[in-house]
Amino acid sequence: MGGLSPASGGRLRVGIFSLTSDAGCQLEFLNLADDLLALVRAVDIVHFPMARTFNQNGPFDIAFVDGVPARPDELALLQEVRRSTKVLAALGSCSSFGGVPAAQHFHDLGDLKKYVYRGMEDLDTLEVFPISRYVRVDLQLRGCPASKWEIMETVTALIAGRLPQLKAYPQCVDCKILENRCLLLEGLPCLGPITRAGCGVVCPSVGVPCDGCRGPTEEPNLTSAIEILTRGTTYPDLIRKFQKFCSLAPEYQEMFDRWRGLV
Amino acid sequence: MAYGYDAHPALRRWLLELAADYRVLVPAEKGGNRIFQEVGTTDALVFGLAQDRTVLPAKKAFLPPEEMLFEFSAGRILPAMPLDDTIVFGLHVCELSADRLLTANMTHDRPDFHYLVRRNGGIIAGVSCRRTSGCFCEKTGHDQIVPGDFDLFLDLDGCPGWDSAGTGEQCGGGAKTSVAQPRLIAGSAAGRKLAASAPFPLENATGAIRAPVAAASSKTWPLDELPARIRDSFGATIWDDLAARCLGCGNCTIVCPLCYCFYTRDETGLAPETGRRLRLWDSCQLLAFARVAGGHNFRESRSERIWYRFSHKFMRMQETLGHAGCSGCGACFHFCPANIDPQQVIADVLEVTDSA
Repeated sequence: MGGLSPASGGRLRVGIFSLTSDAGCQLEFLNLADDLLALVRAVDIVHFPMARTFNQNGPFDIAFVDGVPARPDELALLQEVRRSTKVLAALGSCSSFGGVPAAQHFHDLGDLKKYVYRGMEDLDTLEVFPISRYVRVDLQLRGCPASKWEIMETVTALIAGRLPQLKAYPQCVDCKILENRCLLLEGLPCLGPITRAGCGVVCPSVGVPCDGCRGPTEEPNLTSAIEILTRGTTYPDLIRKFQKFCSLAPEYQEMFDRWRGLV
Repeated sequence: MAYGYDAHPALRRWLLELAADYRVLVPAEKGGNRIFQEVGTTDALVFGLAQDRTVLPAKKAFLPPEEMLFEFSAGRILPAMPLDDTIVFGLHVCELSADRLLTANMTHDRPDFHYLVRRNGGIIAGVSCRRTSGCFCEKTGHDQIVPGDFDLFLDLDGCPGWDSAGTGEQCGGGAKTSVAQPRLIAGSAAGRKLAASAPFPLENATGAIRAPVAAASSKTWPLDELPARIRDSFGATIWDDLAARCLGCGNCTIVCPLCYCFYTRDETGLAPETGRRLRLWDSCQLLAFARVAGGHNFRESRSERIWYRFSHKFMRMQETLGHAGCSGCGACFHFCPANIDPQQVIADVLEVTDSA
């Protein structure tokens, strides 16, 4: 097998790191349930602060990094992880697209410090960006949180030495195959048609419109999507929906620029 | 509206009886949708035989959205054997006609083993339709079937009360016209055998069964001319106009009874010498569909992809199999967020290629 060869012989050394985020993506590893037991037998998870008391330093064969660097020490950690890792995967929409922390870009950072961190105005905080701004990212596992299925696909692929096959097509394909009610046809603002599949259509399957946490499909038709979606919501609310999880996705920037021109 | 599963106790008993020996799928209510579901898997199946389309077509019984082709372990390959004991009950005329064409398509050139094992072992039973909004089978030539296209057909014509909330009587108490009560028409020996225990009078098929004529039946389409017309329309602005509206979500092909394109994916386990190969439905409307190794994409623009969908149906299938690859069921229109209506598309193609 032409898999990733372990840095130190034996099993692959895997590290799971959290920068600024709610750490929900780390938690998804624990949520793997039965798969988790098989996973820890197949690879050596040597760094996993949520689950381990003692955590090792590199080298790592695979590092999963969730969250964004929001403080200088987090940025230093990210750079150190990159230096000691063969395959670095952005885990979740924070590290891929800025996630919820990137909402700061739609406000004045000074104001935020004043209102959110009252009395801590000297807080040493960075503007947040996807981790790809600072280091080379080999794989992107999107979603809030990242999908368990994609985590397993990534690990099994790297063990076997093949490329992970992550879905690039829209949610609608998987949603139709599940024969769910179409929320969009019912007039709800569901981002499914322009959002990447891979989560198992978690929200629409329980009647909740897709919030787009996995970010845009390849070449989304946003112009037509906005026209269709604003039948079920207002334009400002729709923009806020796009700003929620993946506001730094390149595909959305033109839409936001146009919005800034309007307000 | 919905017709209660219990409203015809004898039909219910018969289907449950069949479910002891077969996998029986009927269109039944689930979460506000009509879905082909297995009899016996839910307690309260509510199904409307005569109206409303299902989300996925009956094709899913023979070409599942996801199926394992084989698994492998330590150098040994274990092929997956498809099941061949399915009865699908409740197809409309257009879908029976689509089934015939799909089977012809899966047989010609390179026979599709997995599909044909399931299909040849399966039994399909039709039911009279009352037309569904946005359907147009008379335009695509899928408005009639002949014996051999189906195994059984439950004829409700002349039994209009069937659609309303059932009373337990065979005809639901509605006004009766030419046919006093539902009857079964056998289109094959397998169908005849199955119908032996059915609670309806049985007749042998003698000729074609036709879909009811649309209330506002308009002009038919020149199906023989369409291949040339579609070819000539390549690059026309109508495709760009459609591309401006289309979200590329793939709904149209996923719900189509005559789309069959698939891709395969290989999955390996945590022990890399184990794994399996899956086949999954694909869609020509997705950007990655025509992308090949090295990154080249044969259909980079949405307008080319939309043209391709129509060309496959009205040009390629018409030329190779003699029938349009569109049953006229209207599901693609119904489930399209951008309201793209194939009837309008063909009307536009005819208009822009009308050189006369």
